[in-house]
Amino acid sequence: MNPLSPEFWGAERGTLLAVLLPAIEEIAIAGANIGLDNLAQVGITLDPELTHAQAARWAREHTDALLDRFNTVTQGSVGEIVQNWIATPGATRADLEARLLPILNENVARAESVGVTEVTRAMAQGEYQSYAEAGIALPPMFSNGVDTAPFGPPAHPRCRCWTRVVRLPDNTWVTVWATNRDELVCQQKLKTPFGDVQGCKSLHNHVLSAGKYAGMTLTEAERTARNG
Amino acid sequence: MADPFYIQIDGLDELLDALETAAEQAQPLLEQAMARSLAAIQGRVREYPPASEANRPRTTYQTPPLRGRDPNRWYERGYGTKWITADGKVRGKKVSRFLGRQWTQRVQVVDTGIVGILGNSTPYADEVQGRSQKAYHARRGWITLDTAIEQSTADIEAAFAEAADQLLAALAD
Repeated sequence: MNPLSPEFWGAERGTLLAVLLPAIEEIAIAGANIGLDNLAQVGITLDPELTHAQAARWAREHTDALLDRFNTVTQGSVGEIVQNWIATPGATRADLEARLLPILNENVARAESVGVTEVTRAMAQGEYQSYAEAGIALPPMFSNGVDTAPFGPPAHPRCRCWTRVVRLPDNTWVTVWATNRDELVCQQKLKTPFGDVQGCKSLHNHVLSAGKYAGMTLTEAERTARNG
Repeated sequence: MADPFYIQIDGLDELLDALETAAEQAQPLLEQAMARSLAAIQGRVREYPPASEANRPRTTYQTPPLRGRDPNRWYERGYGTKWITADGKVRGKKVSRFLGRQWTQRVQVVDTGIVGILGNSTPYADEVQGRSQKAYHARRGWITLDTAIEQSTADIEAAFAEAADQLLAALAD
């Protein structure tokens, strides 16, 4: 996956503005179509080194305060470690746990649990910032008894889930729950804003965004949106 | 790179006229449209295929064949490689980087306009979902980024068409 160079973008004027403004002569006005050679011309590219800046920032600013309130960590900065881990391309789960061990009294089980859970939390919260910038409705606020935040992963310690975005047939953009789809996905009873469910497994592909589709399966939401 | 595609925007004439004098109003709308486009692509590329035989935990050791994959090894999502030893002990290497959660995006304003950047710093992303995708990942249902982009064409069109509508509405006020 090779990113296109800045020179390419400069030459191509690969942005929507560039597509819309100067290329009038290329436009098939009759059909109101803009012909594009390929996706690069709307300015979409890939950076294999790009790390999740929003998630890293969130981890730094929030993780320790949250863990303190859970009375989970008594020393050191989990937030800083999670932030650095997210910001380090190629760092593995083993690297994360190795960095957490010294501040968790060398407790391997706690390092595993805190590492997986807090990365999941930071990633989810980072995603919410991206979604907000995209004008996509966030999940409803939900209290776990300690903290009130938009409902989402982690739903429990060691949760490995995340969210993704789907556009429904009525052009509503929603976030949905995603799991690893393996036999380790939890099936224990969980409280959600949509009622009790049998674990993350039963949340897979359920709409999270607040609004009329909240809590529906993706299939139900698509059917509802199609039928108006 | 993905196949050619077309963007259909209703009211294009008016939009083009408006854009010549309204870049300031257009930019935030286009940034949002780009962010939605990237989110749509990510939404597809982030969906994991169901776990396969390659993810099934082994409980008994089998004598490996002379050729082919070792039946005593598997990949646990979110953990990494695991294997069972001849004496029945399960070992593992925590090499996971949480591929699905690592997809990220950035909308960048440059001299020539707005660029959407997708990113994933997982070292094995390329061989699972990139242009160097291994055949066995494809067989197990992992879609590539290029495929996700192709499948997101309608979403991208919709995002930019909505931005155009909003811009026209704003300019009409």
